[in-house]
Amino acid sequence: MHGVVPEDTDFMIMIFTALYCEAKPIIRFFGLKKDTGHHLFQVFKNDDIILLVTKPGIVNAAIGVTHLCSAYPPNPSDLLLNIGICGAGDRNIPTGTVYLCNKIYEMDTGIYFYPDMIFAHPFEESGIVSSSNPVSEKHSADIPELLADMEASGIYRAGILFFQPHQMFFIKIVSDYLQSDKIDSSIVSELIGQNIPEIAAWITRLHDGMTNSSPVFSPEEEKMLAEVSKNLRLTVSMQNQLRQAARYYKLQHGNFSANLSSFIKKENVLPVKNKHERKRAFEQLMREFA
Amino acid sequence: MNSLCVNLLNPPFSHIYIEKGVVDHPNTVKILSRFPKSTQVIIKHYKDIFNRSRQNYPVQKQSQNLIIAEKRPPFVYRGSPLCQNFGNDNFYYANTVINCVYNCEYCYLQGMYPSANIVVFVNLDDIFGDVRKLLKSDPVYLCISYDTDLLALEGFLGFSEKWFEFARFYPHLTVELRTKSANLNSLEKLTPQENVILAWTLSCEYVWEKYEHGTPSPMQRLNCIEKALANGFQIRLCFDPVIYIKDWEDEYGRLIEKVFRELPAGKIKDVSIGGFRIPCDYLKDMRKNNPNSAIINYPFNAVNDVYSYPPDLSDRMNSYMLGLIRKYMPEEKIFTWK
Repeated sequence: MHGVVPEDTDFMIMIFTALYCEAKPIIRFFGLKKDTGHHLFQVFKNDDIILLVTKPGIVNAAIGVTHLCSAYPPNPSDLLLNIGICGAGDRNIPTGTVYLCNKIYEMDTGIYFYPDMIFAHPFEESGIVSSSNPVSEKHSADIPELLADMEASGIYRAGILFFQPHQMFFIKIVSDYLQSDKIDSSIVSELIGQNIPEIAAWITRLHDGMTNSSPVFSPEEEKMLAEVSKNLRLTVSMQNQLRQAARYYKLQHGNFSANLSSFIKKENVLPVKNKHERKRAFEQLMREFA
Repeated sequence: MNSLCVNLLNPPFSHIYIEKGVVDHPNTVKILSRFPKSTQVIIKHYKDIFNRSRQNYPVQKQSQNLIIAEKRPPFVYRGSPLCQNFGNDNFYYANTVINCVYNCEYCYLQGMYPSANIVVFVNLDDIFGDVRKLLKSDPVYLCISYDTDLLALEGFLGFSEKWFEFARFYPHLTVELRTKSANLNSLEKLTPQENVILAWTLSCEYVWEKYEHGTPSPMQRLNCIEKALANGFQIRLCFDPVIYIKDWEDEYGRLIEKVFRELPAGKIKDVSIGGFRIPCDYLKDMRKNNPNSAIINYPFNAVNDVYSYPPDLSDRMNSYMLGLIRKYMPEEKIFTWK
């Protein structure tokens, strides 16, 4: 992204696909608009959702995630969703079957990644193998998991720098039996399109159920604490002690503004002129929270 | 993000991660038979999932999963100086399970481990082997339920029973099993033994209601202890940790009165008292994970990398508890952590 200043960092769901044909039905479903500020990747967004097309491959996937998350750092209630097609090593699995991946095996390095499986979902579950090169049917016996793609491990590797493991979801739709060279882009769009209403309903409900815990101190309380710390010329260690005492007091009693106000009003305390006075004033202040 | 709508969550143990090397272990097979609906995920090493970076302990705690693994050496550890040894010289502890089904806000496990998922080590025989080696030279005092609550898991695990069976053959071994459970069914399957102590942690009503999420009430625990005493088990009462709360004297006064009204003091092996204390590093993580918990945000004193109440408060709490318990128990049976 060159010269783009993120004007809105309140995206809630970040979606990554490898191909435009995978993104197309998602863009249509959510009514996303192209963000022309991004020159290196195709990015589409609305107020709640932002989608980036990474291009195929583990490295491209990792670069795409890093690019978007650096521009729009996610918050603790945001979610990462990787949607794409995959190959299946078992011909008994019907194409169009939707999987949520519980294990990602990176073929190139032999490393496993595990997204948290905390949330209920309506999909099938499986492990997936991510490989920099397409896995062909004749090598299907060599892959240790049921599914294969070319992005999931790259998405996880980059995603974990910005998200926690319970915030990342890897949804794969079976498109072939490890014959990826034979897939037509219109079929890919159709497979994703058929399933996107269910995926969207699930991820939206999940996101709606997540709540951010609010900070313990209100902006006014932060201001009061900063003011007292400045007036008393408190050391960093003293400031930490004061904040801890104030936090405990607030959690126990609901409010500490009165304690601080009463302290500030005492004429014999402020301003402090030397270390000795600071120490005395600080001890007096801490007694307000005893 | 610390709270989630309950109906979005998978039920506990919806996923069971199993180390490849213990898939066929009899204990693994037994555990899996108790959870036929769980999704099984084969893993190489339990740390691949348990020690992942950036895990969210409070979120995982709301939908805990199970990890079945092999314990590698060391199998037995020296007891921590933060724990009471009850006058025993060779104080050790063993972990057959990591993490707990209960969710006590003050519990050190939240600061000790990066994950809230429960790890079960199925190779008990290796741990027993190590204990046998220790017993060759000296008597051993071994705590087996510090980083978990074994009795609470007994329904599907049966590890308490195995420890009871093991201890039967080694009179120089004293085992302590600490619990907050009220699992009467499991208790009935155990045979009382002189050298196995069931140690119940007891808290006042206020602490239980506000901070010991998911645990049996003090009254339920007392009913269970009463039954255990009647059946001849060795019983230890642990008023540990004693937590500083508003009106703590009244709250703990009522608790002690209730305990000794319900239980025959003469049958109790011993009692422990200990104020809340925790390694500084653990508390830092706990505060980060749970910034709105009053109990862990108390402005503790740090001495030698351990947080505890200021000395004057600590002394007052210990003396008060000791004074109350002394009315019912001889002083030589009361152990105070200082």
